[in-house]
Amino acid sequence: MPYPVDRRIDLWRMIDYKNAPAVDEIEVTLFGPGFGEAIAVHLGQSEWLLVDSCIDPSSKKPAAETYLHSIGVQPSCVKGLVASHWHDDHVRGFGRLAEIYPEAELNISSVFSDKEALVFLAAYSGLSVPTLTRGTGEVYRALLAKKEHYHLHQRSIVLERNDAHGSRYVRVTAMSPVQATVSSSMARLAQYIPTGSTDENISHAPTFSPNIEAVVIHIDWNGEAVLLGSDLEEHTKYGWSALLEDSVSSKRAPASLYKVAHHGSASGDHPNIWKDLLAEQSIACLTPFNNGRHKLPNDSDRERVRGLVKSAFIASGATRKPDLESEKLKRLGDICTDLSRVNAGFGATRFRKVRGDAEWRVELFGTAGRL
Amino acid sequence: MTSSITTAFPWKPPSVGGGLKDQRQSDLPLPNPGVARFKQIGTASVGQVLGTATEQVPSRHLPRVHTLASLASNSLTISPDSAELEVWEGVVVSVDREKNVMDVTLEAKISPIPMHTGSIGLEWVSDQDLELVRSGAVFYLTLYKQTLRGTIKNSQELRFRRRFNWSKLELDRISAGANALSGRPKDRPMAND
Repeated sequence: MPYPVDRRIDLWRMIDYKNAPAVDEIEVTLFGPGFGEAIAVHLGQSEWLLVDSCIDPSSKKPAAETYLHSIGVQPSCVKGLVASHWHDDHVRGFGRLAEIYPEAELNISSVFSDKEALVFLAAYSGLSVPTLTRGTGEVYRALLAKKEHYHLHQRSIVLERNDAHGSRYVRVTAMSPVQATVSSSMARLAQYIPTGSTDENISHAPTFSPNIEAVVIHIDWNGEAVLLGSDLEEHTKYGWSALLEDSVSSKRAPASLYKVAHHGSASGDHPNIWKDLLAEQSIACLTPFNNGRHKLPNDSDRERVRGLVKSAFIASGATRKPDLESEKLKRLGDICTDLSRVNAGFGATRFRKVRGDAEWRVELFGTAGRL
Repeated sequence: MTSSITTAFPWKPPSVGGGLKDQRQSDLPLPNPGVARFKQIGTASVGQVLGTATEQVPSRHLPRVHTLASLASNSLTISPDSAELEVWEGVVVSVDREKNVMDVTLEAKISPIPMHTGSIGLEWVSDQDLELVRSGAVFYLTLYKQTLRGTIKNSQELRFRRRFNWSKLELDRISAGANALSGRPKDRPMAND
């Protein structure tokens, strides 16, 4: 059961995740501290894939690291890391993951395949100006930790495994970004690459909208599939529409579990996701996003998602009420509206099933709950 | 994740014609000598002003703390009797120019207050700092409290952190940093079924 959300000390208590999955049990666990997102996937045969990263407030370490350690998973069992994009809320602690999991292959969006994009990463990595970094610094640190890394775009096979008989039993595929995104994203990044002009003022690592660079992941266990939507947003040429138009991507096995894109927002939604990419009676999970006026999912988002799936869960559902003494709250409230706490509670939703089972087994930890 | 409000695709940055070049530190007026708390920052660490930050940065990157008339109209002149109630280091997450508001994260520097988010109207930003308001920009919001003969007088100040041009040393570091990553990327096989 979720921990109480109004007792501050309980919000940060270490969660008891109990045991690791069985060897033949597949698992997807979504972590959400209120600002941030991370996913741990047990592919089977004690092999794990980690997608994105956020910090567990109780351990101050990456949530996936804390989780795997608590259930007794050895670092050598982590075989893949995916940074679906480089926004701060998706890669906190990602650099550390690359450092502590030596056998994990590092995968990032193909928008960084160009040399100039690497200059962009280096510029905002904290190398030259320590505070001039956000998610870019984490991605840079991860790239530095590995001798090589892989670029992902639509149709990239991230990972494939065969069983003892030589038959494939799992394939992880990237469904985005679409190929055309690379050149378009370079145009956006180029504006922030330092050239040495005396008229050039140092800025800060920007974030782009809509997010067309994010890597959507499809995991297929011979027909049993999961879709991880990252933060991909809709764009007719580069976003969900382009993904859905691809003949290979649209033929993926329908997913029975969907990590909803972009925290359930309308901009991260496309009606054909539910029609073409998901199975009937699928389950959805998502993490909240809290930034000033923008709180995702909003009530309309919640209603929309609930209406499209059999059941839906949110990794962190704690209150976002401000947490500061009354005098400061009043004074700050005179200047700042929509004030709310960023990390209002940490939680995780875990989905497990043995292949062949009809239903996913759902477990809620921390402040996670039904959407 | 970002807001989809202001940075429409493709995005063109606002022109920053001449702003910082015309406002070098030496050109800015000196603070009121009677306001002992606020002095020009040379090579001192930020911590000397804010009391809690310990980062050492080159002086040209340090925030300017002034009591200028160009501050937001609803901020008052800070008197030497004022005490800092709290200081927040803020980061702009997104800007909505139509609604004249910026969405921010706030990290308290004096008290152990958890990080918060909120929205601040651009009317709180001084004219000279408006050009600095963009995603990723850092600012400092200080709340003051003065108690004088039983009367409480509140004031506040919001100033953006200024950064100047990239130096050759910084550009060399960036180039070396990018080169350290070159030659490493590999492609994955493609799925055709």
